[in-house]
Amino acid sequence: MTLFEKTMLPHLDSAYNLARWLTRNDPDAQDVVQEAYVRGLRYFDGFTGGDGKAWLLTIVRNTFLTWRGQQKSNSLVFDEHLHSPNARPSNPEEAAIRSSSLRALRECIDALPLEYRETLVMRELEELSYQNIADVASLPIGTVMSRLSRARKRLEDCMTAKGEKS
Amino acid sequence: MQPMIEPYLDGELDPNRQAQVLDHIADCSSCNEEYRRMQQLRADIRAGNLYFSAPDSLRQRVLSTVRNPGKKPRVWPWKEMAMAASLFLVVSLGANFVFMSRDRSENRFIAQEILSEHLRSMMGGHLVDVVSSDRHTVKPWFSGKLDFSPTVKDLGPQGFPLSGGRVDYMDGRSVAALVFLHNRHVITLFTWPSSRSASDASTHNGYNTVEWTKDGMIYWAVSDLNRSDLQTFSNLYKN
Repeated sequence: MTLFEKTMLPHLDSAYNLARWLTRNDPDAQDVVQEAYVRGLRYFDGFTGGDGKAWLLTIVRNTFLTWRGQQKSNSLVFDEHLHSPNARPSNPEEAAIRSSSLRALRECIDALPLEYRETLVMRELEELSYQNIADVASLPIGTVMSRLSRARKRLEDCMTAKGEKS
Repeated sequence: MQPMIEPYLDGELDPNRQAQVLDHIADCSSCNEEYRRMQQLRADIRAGNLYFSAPDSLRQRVLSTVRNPGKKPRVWPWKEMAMAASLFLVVSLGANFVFMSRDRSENRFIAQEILSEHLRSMMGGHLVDVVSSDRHTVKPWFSGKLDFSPTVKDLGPQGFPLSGGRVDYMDGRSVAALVFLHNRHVITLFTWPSSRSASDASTHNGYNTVEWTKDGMIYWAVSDLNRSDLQTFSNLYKN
C-alpha cells in the first residue's frame, strides 16, 4: 500500500458522504469522488501531513465545484430540481427513508442553499471542527459560524413548516 | 451570550468559556430553550441515518484508479480500442505529412502505420485471413501472396499461441501480419524483407511496439500488452 492509499483511502466514506450531499445523487457523487482521488494522487506531494480528511474533503469540494461549473456550461442549466433526490428515487433504501419520518429532515437539508448545506454536513455528519471547515471551504472561522447558525435556523424552520403541513 | 450557544454545543469553546455559557444557559430561559432546540436538532440529524457510506463498487473503482493512475477503468477493451483507433486515424493522417521525409523519423512513421493497421484490424474484426494455430498451415498460406516467405513460429507453449495471419500493405509493399494472443491481448507481428536497421521499443498512444531485424527481415510487434511482456514475446520469437 502506498502512502497515498494509507492516508486517503480511510476517508473514502467521508469523501462520498460530502459529495453525495453536495451533488444530491449517487452517480454524480461517485464520479466526483473518483475524480477527487485522481486529483488527490496528483497533488499528494503538496500534502504536508496533518489532517488527511480535511485535505481530501477540500479536494472533493473543489472537484464538485468544477463539476457543477461544467454542468452549468453544458448548455443545460444546472437544474436543482433534476438533481434533487425527489426526481431520482434511485434505490429501495432511499425509498424506505423517504417513507419514514426522516424524509422531512433529508428534504430540508437537501433544500438548503449549497453554502449552508455543505457547512452543516461537514459539522454534523463529518464532525469537523470550525477550523477544519474553514480550511476546507477557504473561509474565515466567523463566516463558518454564521453559516452554520443560519443553516440550523433554516433547517428548523423547514422542519416546522413540514410539521405543520402534515 | 446567545451567539455562544452553538459554539458551546459544538465544543468549540475553551473550558472557561464553556463553564460561563453553561451557567448562563441555566439562568436564561430563552437561551435554555434555544439550547434544547439545537440539541434536539443535532440528535435528530445524528439519529437520522443521514450518513452516506461509500458503496463497495466505488471503493473498487477508486482503488483501481489510484493503483493505475492515468488509466481509465476498462469496461470493454474493444470499444476502447475502437475509440483509440478512430482517434489514431485522425492523428496518423496528420502524421503522414509530418513524417514524410525519409530519414530517421522513417521508423516512427512505420511505427504509426503499424499501430494504425493493428487497430484497424481489431476495429473491423478483420484479424486474420488464415485462422490457424499451426505454423505449417499459416506459412504455406502466404506463398503466392507475398514475394518472400515469412518465418512463422507458434509460441503457444510459451503463452503466446499463434492465432493466424493476413497480408497487409505497408512501407510501400505487401507484408505478412501474424497474430498472436496473450491472455486477452492481441499481438500483431508485421514482417517483411528490409535492409533497414531497427530502432527499438517505443510506445504510441498507450500501445507498445518492439522492432528488430534478423536475416534481412524486419519485424515489428505491436500490442496493448505491457512492454515487458511484449519484450518477452519478441525475445522468444528472435530465438
